[in-house]
Amino acid sequence: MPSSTFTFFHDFSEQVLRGVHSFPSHTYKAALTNTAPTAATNTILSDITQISTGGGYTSGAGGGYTLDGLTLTQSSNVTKLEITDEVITASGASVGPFRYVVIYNDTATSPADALVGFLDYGSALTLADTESLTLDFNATTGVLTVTV
Amino acid sequence: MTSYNAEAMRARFQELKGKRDAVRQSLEPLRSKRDAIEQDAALKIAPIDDEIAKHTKALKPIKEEMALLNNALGGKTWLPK
Repeated sequence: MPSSTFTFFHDFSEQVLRGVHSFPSHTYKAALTNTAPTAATNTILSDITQISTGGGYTSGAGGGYTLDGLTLTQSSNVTKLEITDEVITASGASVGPFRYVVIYNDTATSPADALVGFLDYGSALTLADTESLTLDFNATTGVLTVTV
Repeated sequence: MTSYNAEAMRARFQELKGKRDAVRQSLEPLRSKRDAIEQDAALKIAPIDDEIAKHTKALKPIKEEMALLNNALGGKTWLPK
């Protein structure tokens, strides 16, 4: 299984405090790209060059795979956001190549489709037709923890 | 030359207080309007959020097992025809 590292977009820190994000109520999606995102300056999905539609992947606004397993768990002064691992499958054609999986908020309207962060697989991947990949979000540490 | 005696400072303080209160008066109806919209939306959204949370909870073990199987199968999850 290919491994990945997760990086937050810098703008996410501001949008969290502005109330743009609401975990787990909002709809979060995973968009695929083979162009390196720029954590410091990318803010919305349209800043990302997605791969083309095909093989079950839908590109463009609102594109990508829905992440429907977001949960918050609180323990004393720490709250952890977990995203359940998502299995994506190429269907009818290949998907890719892509190296980055960009997480964004599809509910957010201002800014629209606000970016959260991205997984970097280190090298480009292509899913052959029928092949699956697990988008692995570390359940132990969570994607994000807030400590007060 | 600016005078920093206590009387002048009190006068300036009162002047600023008047300005502050005037701005606050303008803000108040806007905040009330915004809060009312947000509270109305929150009331409508709350039951939907509860439903989403219920379904998400049911989905979690399914997706975890799928991920486990996919990893064990090296991504070859398709049944042969």
